[in-house]
Amino acid sequence: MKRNWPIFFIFSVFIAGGDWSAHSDVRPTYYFYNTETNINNFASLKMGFDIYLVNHGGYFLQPFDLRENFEAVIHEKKGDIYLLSSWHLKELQRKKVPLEIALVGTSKGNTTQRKVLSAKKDIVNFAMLKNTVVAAAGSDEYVHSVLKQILGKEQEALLKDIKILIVPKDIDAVMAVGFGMATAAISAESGLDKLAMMNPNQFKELHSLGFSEKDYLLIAATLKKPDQQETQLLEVLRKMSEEEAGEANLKMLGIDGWRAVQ
Amino acid sequence: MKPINFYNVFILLAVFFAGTGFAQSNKILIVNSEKTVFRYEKIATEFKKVLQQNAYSWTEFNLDDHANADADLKQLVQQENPALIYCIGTQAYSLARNVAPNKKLLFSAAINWRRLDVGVGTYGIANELSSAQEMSLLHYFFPTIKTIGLLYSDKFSREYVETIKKDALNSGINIINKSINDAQEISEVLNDLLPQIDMFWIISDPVVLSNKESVRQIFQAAQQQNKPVYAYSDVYIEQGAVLAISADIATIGRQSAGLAMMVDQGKVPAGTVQSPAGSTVTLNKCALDALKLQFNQDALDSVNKIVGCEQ
Amino acid sequence: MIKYLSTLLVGVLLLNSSVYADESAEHDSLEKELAYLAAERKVVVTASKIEEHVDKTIATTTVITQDDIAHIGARNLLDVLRLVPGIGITQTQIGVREIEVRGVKTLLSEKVQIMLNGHPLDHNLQNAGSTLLYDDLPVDTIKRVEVVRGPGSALYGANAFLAVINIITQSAKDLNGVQTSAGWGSFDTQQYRASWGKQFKNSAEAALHFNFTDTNGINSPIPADSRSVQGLSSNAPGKSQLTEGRYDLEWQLGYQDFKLDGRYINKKAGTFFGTAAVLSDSRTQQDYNDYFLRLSRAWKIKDNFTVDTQLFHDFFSYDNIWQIAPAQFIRNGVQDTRTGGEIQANYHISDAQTLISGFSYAKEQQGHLIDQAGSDPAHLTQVLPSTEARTRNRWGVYIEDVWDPLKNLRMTVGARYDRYSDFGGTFNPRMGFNWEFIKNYSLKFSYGSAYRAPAFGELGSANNLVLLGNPALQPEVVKTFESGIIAHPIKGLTAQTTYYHSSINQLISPVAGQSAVFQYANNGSVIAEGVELEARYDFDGKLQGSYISANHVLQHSVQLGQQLADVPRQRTNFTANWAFDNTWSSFAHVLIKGNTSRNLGDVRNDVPGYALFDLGLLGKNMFGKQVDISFNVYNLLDKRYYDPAPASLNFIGDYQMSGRAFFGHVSLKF
Repeated sequence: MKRNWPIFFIFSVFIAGGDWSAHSDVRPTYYFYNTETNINNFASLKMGFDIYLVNHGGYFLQPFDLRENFEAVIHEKKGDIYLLSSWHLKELQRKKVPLEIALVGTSKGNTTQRKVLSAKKDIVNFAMLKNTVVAAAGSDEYVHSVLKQILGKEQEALLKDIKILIVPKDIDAVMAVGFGMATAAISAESGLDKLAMMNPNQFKELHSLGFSEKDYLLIAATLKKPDQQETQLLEVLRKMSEEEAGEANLKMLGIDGWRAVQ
Repeated sequence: MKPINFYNVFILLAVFFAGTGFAQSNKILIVNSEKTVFRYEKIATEFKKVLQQNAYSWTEFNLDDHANADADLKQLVQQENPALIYCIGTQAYSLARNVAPNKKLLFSAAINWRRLDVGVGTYGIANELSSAQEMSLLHYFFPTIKTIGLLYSDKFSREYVETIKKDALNSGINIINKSINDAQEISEVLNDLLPQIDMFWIISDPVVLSNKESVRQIFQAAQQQNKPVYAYSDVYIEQGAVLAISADIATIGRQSAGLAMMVDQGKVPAGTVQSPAGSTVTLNKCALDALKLQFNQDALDSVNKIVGCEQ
Repeated sequence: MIKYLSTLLVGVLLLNSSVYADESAEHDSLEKELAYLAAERKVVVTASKIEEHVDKTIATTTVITQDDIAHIGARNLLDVLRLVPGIGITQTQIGVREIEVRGVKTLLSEKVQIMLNGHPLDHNLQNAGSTLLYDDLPVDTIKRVEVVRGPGSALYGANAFLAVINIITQSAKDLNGVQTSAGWGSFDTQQYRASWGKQFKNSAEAALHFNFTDTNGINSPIPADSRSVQGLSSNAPGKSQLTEGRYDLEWQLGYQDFKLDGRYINKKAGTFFGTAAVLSDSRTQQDYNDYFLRLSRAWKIKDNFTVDTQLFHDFFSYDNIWQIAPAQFIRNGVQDTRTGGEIQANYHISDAQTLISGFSYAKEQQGHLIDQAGSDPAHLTQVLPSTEARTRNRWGVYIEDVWDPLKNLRMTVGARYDRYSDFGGTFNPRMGFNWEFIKNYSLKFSYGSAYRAPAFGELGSANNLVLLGNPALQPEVVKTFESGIIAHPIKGLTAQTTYYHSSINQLISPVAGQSAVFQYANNGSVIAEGVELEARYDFDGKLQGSYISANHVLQHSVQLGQQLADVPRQRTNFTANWAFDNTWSSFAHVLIKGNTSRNLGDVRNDVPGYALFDLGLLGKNMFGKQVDISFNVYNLLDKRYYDPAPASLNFIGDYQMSGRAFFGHVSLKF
């Protein structure tokens, strides 16, 4: 019977709501948009979170696949949690959007990561990437920005002669190099670790051409100092890794836990 | 006419050809086999997004809008003089190959592209993931699987299956393949095949996957004999497949656009056909537990989506 | 209940989530995936890897497509063939036209094998050759004509001697509905055609073609004949009487792996000049009936091993009345049948190698002889037979290996052995390679031999004061080697150069006889060699659909040190097709033929060469894309030109051919 209540709750929202989306904005919500991944299975992400959250305060997750839509929500509405990349947060802060970091995602104990530009060993310098394809997961802008950072000022001019191929995830990017769909890949270092396990031969063929600066993993941010409701939302988020279902959800976001930032 | 005069004519012709200097537009013609088919349409949408970002113009031609597609396409090619024709699906490719044999063609979403009549000016993104990639992933996820069985039709998948067999050997996996001519043969052939294998692989063969009934038969037979099913698309997870590694459709569209632009700029070797670069890995934990199948726990974080029994 | 509700809820959530996120991969449900697979299922690209690309074969091949035929405005098969390099068309005295191939031509073109959808059409066992019925074959239902020059016996057996012409007609898939067409032109020419084709859901398919054509012929002036020059009663001076009318019915029925196809033809014709050097009036009537029925099935034994089997029955008959003097007629008739089967195994050893091997058997019979003579064609009386009833059994085995040891190298090796009940066995090998030595440049080399079995008439003609058969005849044999380069130097341009050398031995020809003026014998040899140059450029862009092409042959055929009579040393075709827009295009063709020399002892001047200019206008896809209209003018400049007549007809000079002629054509698709 314990499980019946939340099910009834969601069901009634649907029945009563008719147009659920019109009413949902009054409920506390986690809004999600990540420039660093190219998730294409929002339905399972949303489903996983919503089922978990029904038992943990009745909140919702709303993922976005368009940056503009996500940013519009930030501008229009206060009082929720925003899950976004560190790069995106900095971009928004530059535009004077008053977002503040509340939690930082962790992966195997780390809160930061750096991106690697890797290529086959016959590509020995950046110049050789001219007129080639570089595969990466993430939004177009983000990937450009990371690549620009890795290339550095001296090689920045190369950017216009490099074609970016956006793939769903890091492992696709590094494998694209191995299978000849791209000349180089941008991935998190963990992406290369995965390749080493999955396809050691391909991994051996790759080497790193350059690295980005270290940056936080996924960030949970609020528009102001968290109020009581937001603190509750953050607490639910922080404790997600303590339950199996919650951890599985976090994995879909590419992290395995949260850590508060002082 | 003396032979020497004939050579003069040749020289004249050659000069004429060299002098004309055909101006090439960077317009791309998109030919879609059937716009109501989700895969085709999704690929077209992503393709256009990338073209737009790169200031390329395009014209679209949907086969299902034209009763006389052959003549209409010919007319359009003549009118638009596209730098490249992007053909989504085999029907689109076949038609374009006939109508505009001298144009650069780029195909995608064509099942087993190796069966196509591919010319010098043909480029493509395969519909299937590189079987070497699939094999290395499968081997990583299920280290104990040694023998995999699959059904296919000779008409549509012969060349693809030959490639699979070669790649499987490199990963230490043995493939047992059985061909059928009609979906009605599925049950009988499966009864013979399933006892010999550790896992059954559903490949994108249009004869094997003729209708829902053939899909049902495959899963029913596999379940009866307690054999896990691995599939090329996550639509089969719901039917009971334990693992699916699908080529990401949107990536195929983007990848095609990238290749199209590179081809237009003459930066790709003739005849390049790439495997899809994006993949989605879906694991059916429910089926995995039911089959008591050994799964490499280290590989869990490479799975995009884990489906449990409650779902 | 809970499970049910959860399922329902999952659905609800999915629905709502799409408000924000785009369609996700999960929306690509099983139905959508199956719909995609169904769409892909609509196209089967190739039936067999044995179908080689023209560039890769070792043979010298020309392909003429349906589109090309429409531009040419062809009235019949010969209008198409005369554009092919190495092929020339000339008129004969009895009416049928000769197909000259690589500098060799004979009255009945028996050294050329014509096939319909791969089935040999040499059903005429008395005289061999297929031109009597197929020279004026209507072209509206043709999808493609493939002309392979050079010997083909190693694959096709008898009579694929100098060339193989395979006519491929529209299938159910090509038609997919109803197509009709009609053509009208000079000499009271009219042609009508109706075709229907459909593919059914249960893998059955059907295509039916019907053609009717009729013409009064070119009415060439015939100033004299052998009677008029002697002051005897004669139809000369007069005009040629080559009226021709025919019905064709073709069917292609398929169900699963079975196929039943065939074609029935009835043709009635007058004669161009007549036999016995006497100008005939309208009472010379040639009447031919011909059909074939073929039941075939493809078997798949293993993935890489298939077997094709077929049973066939061919029928050919004629019943001809010839006027040999104003009041003297003879009537000849025979019925020929060929019944047999073939089994061919195709073993796809690897992606790079395919082996085919087969066995064929056929029984050929001739009977129902008609031999009559008299002064009134309606009341003729029996005379001694001019040929004999005859039966022949033959079988053959063949094997061919097509192997690509390298990506840019194809090697083909094959051989065939045939055994005949009446004259023994013959072995014919074929080998060659095609090597793309630089990208877009391929070198070809091939060597092969071929044979032509003696026809029943050559073996058994009897009771004829002029020409007798010879039961001891052996097949005539040709050995050919050829080499060439195919190049695609720039996009759209294909150029090809081929050198060939053929040596024909044991030539079957009439020689001076003991009990008649002539008797057939294996006598002498012919060496034919030449160079064929071809180039075609297809325009791109705004001019797509336009092309220019040229071919030129230099040929030298020698018998007993003497250039063969009636065959030119060179021939050139220029064609240009200009697409004005998507509808209208104009086609121009110039044929330049060199002089042809006379036989040894024929003191007449050479037949002068000539240049002919043809022009056509084609409008395609008009009126809702259902109508094509074309109008062609043949010999636009009204050039007076002649085809060579034999020395025995020196009193009439040569055959004057058609002046300016018009042909209009309309086709409708439903």
